Amino acid sequence: MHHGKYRFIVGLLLVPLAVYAVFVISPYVQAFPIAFTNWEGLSASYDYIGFGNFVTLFHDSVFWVALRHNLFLLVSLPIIIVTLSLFFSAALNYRGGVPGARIYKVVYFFPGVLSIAIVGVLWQFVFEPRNGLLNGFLRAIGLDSLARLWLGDGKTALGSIMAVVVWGGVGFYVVLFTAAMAAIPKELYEAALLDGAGAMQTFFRVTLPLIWNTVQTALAFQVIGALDMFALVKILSVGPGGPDDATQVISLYMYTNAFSYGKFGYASAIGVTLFLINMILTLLTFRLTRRERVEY
Amino acid sequence: MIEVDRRTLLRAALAGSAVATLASCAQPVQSKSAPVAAGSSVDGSKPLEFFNFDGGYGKEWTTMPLDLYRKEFPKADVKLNSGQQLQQQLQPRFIQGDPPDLIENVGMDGATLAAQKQVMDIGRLLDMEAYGQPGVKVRDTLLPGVAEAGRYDGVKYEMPYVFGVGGIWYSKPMMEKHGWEYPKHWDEMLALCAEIKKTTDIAPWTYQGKFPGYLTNPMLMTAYKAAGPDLKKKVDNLEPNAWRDPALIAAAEGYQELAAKGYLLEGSQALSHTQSQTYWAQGKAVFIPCGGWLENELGDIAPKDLGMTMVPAPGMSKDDKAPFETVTGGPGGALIVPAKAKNPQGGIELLRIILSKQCMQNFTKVTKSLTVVKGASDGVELSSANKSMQAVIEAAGTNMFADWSWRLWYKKLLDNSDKAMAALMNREVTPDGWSKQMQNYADETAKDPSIKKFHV
Repeated sequence: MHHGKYRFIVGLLLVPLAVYAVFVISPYVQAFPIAFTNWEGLSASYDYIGFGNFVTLFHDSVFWVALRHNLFLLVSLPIIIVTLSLFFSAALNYRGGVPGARIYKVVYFFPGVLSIAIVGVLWQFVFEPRNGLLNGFLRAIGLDSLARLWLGDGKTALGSIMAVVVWGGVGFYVVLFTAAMAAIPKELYEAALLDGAGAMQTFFRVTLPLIWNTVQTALAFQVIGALDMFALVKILSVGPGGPDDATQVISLYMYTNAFSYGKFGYASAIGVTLFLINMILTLLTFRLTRRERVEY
Repeated sequence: MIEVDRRTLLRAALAGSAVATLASCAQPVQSKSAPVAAGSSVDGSKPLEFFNFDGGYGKEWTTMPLDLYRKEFPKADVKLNSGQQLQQQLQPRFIQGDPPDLIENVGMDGATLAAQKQVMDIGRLLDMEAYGQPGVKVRDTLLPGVAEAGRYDGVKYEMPYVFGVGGIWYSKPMMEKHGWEYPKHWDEMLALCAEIKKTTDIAPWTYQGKFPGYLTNPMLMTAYKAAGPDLKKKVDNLEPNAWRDPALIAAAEGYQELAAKGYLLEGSQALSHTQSQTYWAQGKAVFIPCGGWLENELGDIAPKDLGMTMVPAPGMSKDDKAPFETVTGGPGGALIVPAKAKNPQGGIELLRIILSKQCMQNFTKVTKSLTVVKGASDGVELSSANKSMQAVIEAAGTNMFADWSWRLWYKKLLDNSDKAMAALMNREVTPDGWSKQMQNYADETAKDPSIKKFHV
């Protein structure tokens, strides 16, 4: 009864697909025509203005600042997060798993359980310049000179938010990489050991190549994440997006244009641009990290 | 986030007042028609929806007017909805043509709503009979300037309901204990700050660093007092080089001194409004800038004997062109009836009830805020904060002016001014650099054809 089986599957999929189409696909698609209008978002009337929004965007200095920040995050965050999580998972898996590895995994994963809004609010208290945990800790151990305004100072604001992203992100990838590493047959490590390979060599010659697919996926995720950053910047930063655009990112600038300045057309143009950048970078990530698939 | 609402509240609380300035150059419309009888055109069987901004003033105050409406029209299904993200919650309903019948608007851009004809001309409300006061027009129950406020291009779209001023707050007992006197000019202010810093471990100033606009307010006032009303006109009209005025640069220099000389509570630049206000209420700083809602917002955080007192921002020097008593203030907040509401007559009727003396008295009692109706604070015991604000209003007399209009008309310029202010207080720019930057932002706004321009 193959026929009935397909009907069953299609029937099951139909509702979620319809929901997805209405609430995810259709707004996406609608953003494209809106990007060519001067819609202000409070009535049903608007005019098509061609590429006007994109021309303005090209000359918008704040957009370029935001783009620069996003690109900086794009390069730095994946490197930091993937390196750290690879290090932690390798340490957990060293010689088939250190004692207490399961507890460590849970501890690493802990921030991943919290919603990003809660993370933002929690770290607000950590960074609070007077009674905050961070400055309090620095003063307690006699490093008063290192106490900073953190989020209030343009020099440290973006770095502070990056630290939160790393803190929140590493755990998930530790678990992901640990799972991938656990799937590698023990015999390979025994063989490497017999051949006289050290811990470093084993990691780079055996472990890393064998989990490369997972790393690749992680990098693609990171690229998309680094282009977003909306929630944390919105909650944590001064302004938000400040001080003086020091933490401005594209997604926040899009939101501000839509909901503060009533420029939905312009915001959609920013969104469409962000979408294109996202597509290009994701494809590039997969292309650049492509390797021979290893069979074992 | 709550913070966002706070900022929009700050903006909206002064919204009506700035529009009054705009309205003052519009043609006065003489109305000779007799008072419209109360509730005459209301269809009592239609449902009514009031959308309340559940922010600084909460929603407790809405119970009385809604009950009065229910009593008047027992058949009507009266509904109250509340929220804090009006833009997100109501925008789809405006587009679909299904908005509520009356909205306490904090968060939606009033200028855009008016420009898009999405709100109703509620001018006739002023000539209706005041609720509970037979034979008296609504217009005659309002404080001066209120009837004129909330007009765009001469049409009354918004009804303000609170009456507020903005200034500097201090604790009276604290000032008296140390024998400090509030200075009227900035050089005296800096001298007092030096003394406070030398003789106590209290910080002279703090401000809501995460939202630097709170400090821009007094800084602009100081410049205004030095240069006189022409400055405001030039800046509001986006005139070339308006921001390059020596008075603005001098004021920026003066306020930057607070940061440069260590007169700010440590960390102020990165504190949120709640954090900085809490530290101030705990007596860790002497002065803080804020609007009239500070007392209500602090709530139980404020000690009983704090003796909250508001005073105008200091002027620049003895050569000032405007008196020290000058303050920004006036009617604020905006109740609007959407043009496409299902029951707009009901919305206007509810508005009439809200503006009644008994409801406004109730408002003052519940929210500790002054309202736009004459005598609404009679019989309500006023706090030290409210008494000081009334004193400020009385002393100002005709020297009270609505907020700087550019702050309401040009949201992007307002945001940019926050950025520039943060840079100034972080000492990342010089006062001269700040004024150049502001001029750039103003020029950008002037050149942007997608922004509708207004003039004073």
